Amino acid sequence: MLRLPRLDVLMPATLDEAVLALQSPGSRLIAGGTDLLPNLKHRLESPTMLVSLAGVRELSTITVDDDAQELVIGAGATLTTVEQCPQVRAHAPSLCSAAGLVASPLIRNQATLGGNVNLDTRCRYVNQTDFWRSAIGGCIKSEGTVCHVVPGGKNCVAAMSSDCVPVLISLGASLQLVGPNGRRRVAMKDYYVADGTRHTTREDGEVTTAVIVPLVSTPRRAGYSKWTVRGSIDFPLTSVALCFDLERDEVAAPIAGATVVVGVLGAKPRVVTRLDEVVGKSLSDPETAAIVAERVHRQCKPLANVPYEAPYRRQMLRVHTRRAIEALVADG
Amino acid sequence: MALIQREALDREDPQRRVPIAEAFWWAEEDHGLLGEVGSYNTPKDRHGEYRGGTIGASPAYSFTAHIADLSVDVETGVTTVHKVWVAHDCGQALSRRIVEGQMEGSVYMGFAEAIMEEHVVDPEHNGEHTGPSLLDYRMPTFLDTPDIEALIVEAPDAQGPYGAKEAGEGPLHPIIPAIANGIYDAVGVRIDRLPFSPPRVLAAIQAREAEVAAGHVQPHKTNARRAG
Ligand SMILES: Cc1cc2nc3c(=O)[nH]c(=O)nc-3n(C[C@H](O)[C@H](O)[C@H](O)COP(=O)(O)OP(=O)(O)OC[C@H]3O[C@@H](n4cnc5c(N)ncnc54)[C@H](O)[C@@H]3O)c2cc1C
Ligand code: SF4
Repeated sequence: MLRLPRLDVLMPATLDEAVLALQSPGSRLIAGGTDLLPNLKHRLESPTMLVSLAGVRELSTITVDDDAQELVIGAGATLTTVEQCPQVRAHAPSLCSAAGLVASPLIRNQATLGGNVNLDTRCRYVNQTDFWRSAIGGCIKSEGTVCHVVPGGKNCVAAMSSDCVPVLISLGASLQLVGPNGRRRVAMKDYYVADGTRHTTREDGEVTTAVIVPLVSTPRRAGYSKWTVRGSIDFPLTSVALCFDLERDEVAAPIAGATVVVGVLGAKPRVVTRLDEVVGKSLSDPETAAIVAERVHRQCKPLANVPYEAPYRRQMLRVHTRRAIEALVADG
Repeated sequence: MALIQREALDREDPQRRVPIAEAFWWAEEDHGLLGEVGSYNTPKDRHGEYRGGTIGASPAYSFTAHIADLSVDVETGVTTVHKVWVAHDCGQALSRRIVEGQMEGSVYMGFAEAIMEEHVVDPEHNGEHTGPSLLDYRMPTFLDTPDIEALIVEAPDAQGPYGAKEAGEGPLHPIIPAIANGIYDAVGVRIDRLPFSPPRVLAAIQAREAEVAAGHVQPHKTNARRAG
């Protein structure tokens, strides 16, 4: 059995106390713990104190701010809550889909959205017991100096494996962060960087307090496609978020803007470029799906970082992207 | 004394009765554990000379037939097994519930072997197992497991204990060829390595399509694809 290392746990009741506690060396933030605790059992980190957000009530509310035209989801909301929340369903249905596809029902009851957007990157050579890793001498992200995915590589390319992140980026979401120097807001498309050992621009003492999704009044169709081997539990092996703004509220209408974001490549989600070609085309035109699928296939190159054949995953990106658009069209 | 409808009653005076559990408590207080020990051993003279022949096989063979209803997605190579019927001749079923459980468990395990499970060691990384945890070594969940219908066939064997043959390994074996044959029937490719994973099935489908395009083989019947 894998055991947790010995550590202290602090349960602050307010955000200010949590931010303060995080300033002491060796402390580490924990929300649902469904990512952090396995990583601690695998001895990937060795904090001496966990600062739990479980008692910070102010973080778990979900509200619609009519003045700012924003959906504000507290970082402490569980994925089950996000999936089932009527306000999220009304304004960001693709986020409900993604949240509802994470892991398994039990994990979603425990896991938070704040933890999901800060989920550590994953790799078949690092998310293992320290005993297993010791047989290959670790790697850049653990005890070693080399990368097993890109031999000779100096940079860790562990995969950003969150289901919600590609969707949130496709919806133009931002994060609210609070730290010792006050609060700031950062667009999620700028939050992630291509370094698997530290893949966000979050400062050590900062807490993500909310995920903010702008409301739109124009017609839109958005969806999320995730493929895994099993129907439950698994992290995504292909992950594609799509968002189409339309000129009228019907799938035959011309596209006014398209955003496609792909996860589980390297440490940073990829925003697919050169989609202007489908602007003006009808969403239901089969050529639209073919063009977008082709762009995704061309620009996204899965690596051997997660446990499944990378060439197959690349082929599937094309198929699943096309099918995701077909599903949006079929839904009307 | 008689045990009737969860009660123990005095045959001479049926009004004297207590709940059965209480009667057992009394008896065990007086006599210790109420139990009997017995055993059955397979006959000594049945084993062959071949490797594995000395395991102590049951005196009679069991017989099993499986039918798998499945579909193959020709674009992804994903095989979805919808339902499996398993008919197993276990001789006399000593407990129908246990035999059914054995049959369902066998279908599950064989199905898992056919579709997902695989022990892979990586020679480039000191022979490490690539699926060392229950996350990376994928076993089917409830959502992945087909419906299973177990049909017990009882043909008692005079030499088995109370006429039983076996309900252990036998009900597992045919599921793998049944799924392989199902894939062949659906898309015309023979996969002869386990598991029948999506990349492997897809590669075989694409190789066949290339053969068709080159005019070397006939197209397979085209009703193979079900919504996937
Ligand atoms: C078997 C299994 C399967 C999984 N499958 C999936 C999957 O399919 N898809 C998926 O996306 N995830 C999956 N996960 C990962 C995880 O469950 C989710 O990502 C979950 O949302 C993490 O949230 P948490 O609250 O449990 O995070 P925690 O484990 O508490 O935290 C995760 C990280 O985020 C940091 N953090 C947490 N909250 C905040 C905050 N408010 N501000 C700043 N930093 C914060 C923590 O310090 C930690 O580094 C899986 C996990 C397991 C164990
Ligand atoms: S990508 Fe390379 S460095 Fe990063 S975790 Fe995997 S093996 Fe280690």
